[in-house]
Amino acid sequence: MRTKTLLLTAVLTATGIGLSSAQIFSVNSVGYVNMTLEAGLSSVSNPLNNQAGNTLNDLFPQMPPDGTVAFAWNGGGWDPFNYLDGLGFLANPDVNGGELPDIPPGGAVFISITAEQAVTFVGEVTQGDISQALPAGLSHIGSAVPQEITMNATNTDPAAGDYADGVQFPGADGDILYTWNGAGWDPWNFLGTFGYIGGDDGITPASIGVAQAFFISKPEAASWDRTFFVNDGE
Amino acid sequence: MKKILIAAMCIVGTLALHGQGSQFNNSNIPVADRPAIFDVDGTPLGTTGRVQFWGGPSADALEAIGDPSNILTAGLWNGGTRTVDSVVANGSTPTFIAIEAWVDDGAGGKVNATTGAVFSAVGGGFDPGNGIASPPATLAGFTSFTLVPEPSTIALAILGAGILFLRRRK
Repeated sequence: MRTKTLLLTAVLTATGIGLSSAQIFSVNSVGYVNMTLEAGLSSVSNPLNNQAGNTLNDLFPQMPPDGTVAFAWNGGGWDPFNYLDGLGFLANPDVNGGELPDIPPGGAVFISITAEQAVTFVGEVTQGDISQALPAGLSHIGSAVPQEITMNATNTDPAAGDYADGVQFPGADGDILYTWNGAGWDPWNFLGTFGYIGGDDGITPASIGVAQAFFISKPEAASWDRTFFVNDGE
Repeated sequence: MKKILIAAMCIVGTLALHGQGSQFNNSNIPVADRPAIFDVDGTPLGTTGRVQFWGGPSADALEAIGDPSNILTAGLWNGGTRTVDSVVANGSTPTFIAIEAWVDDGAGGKVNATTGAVFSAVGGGFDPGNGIASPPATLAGFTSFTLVPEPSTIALAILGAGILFLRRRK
């Protein structure tokens, strides 16, 4: 999986729409994220809120015709969604009442493809107060905003001060974060004052790319709550 | 009593973690070259077709797993996940699988029910120890097959041909 370009600069501003005496002011940031999925399995998260919808077919309208399957984590295993050219991703009759589920910003899928595929996410950047539930056990998630994240102490450890960079991921003892390396899941153990660390030297903090999904294993439920605005540069 | 309950819960939890069955993506859509199922006349089976997943630890110990799935289009079906509990997912033990197909007679009955060749595949659901199970495996060994007319159908055809022959002789 290669993330090639991130564009967050297209800011559309709608101002001064008067309704009665009130003035409504809104700033929406729209953009796109280009990435290339390599043949094989990729762990992908949705980084933008697609105004057309956030189903698999909204996010991945064009995929290799042969052998493409998206898998969604159900808390204990994976639910498959097969892709058929002409029809797109098919609903799984066992899941979500036979309807394709939404993959909201920060939601994630595991995609298996047989040939390299360029993907473009299009949509609005989620801003303001953002909350992502992290139940006890394993969750397959990504950042709800298109942002590269280093899971070091300043971004994950409540004791490190103000959660610099606005990431504010709620690290806790016993947590393990897993990133997909193309063939398996690399573990990153949480240690206060270090963050989620691993790698060959054992102390490298995990790095999460734009639109990259990861697993977080938490002994106790938590919530990833933060406030994000594009103009803050966070 | 409390200790016994806790111990029992631990045992159940352990079995749940390590005793998961082998999981398969019950569909021929992601299989290489997309092998279809054909009706008796050689055309791809239509939407009145039904498919049943059979699986087990050996070719002579197969059991029907889950409900039948409908043919979606042109001999292709999309049937969700099937878990073969009799084969523990460990990343190496093969599961034997057969796909049965038929045409629904409109009343839930089977017409021209035929079972394809038995094949084996290693299922998903294997947990290497981190709690992250592998995805349901594709039915990689599945091969295309054609429904075979039932004997009664053949007998009727022969009977009809015989009657026609006799009438022509008269």
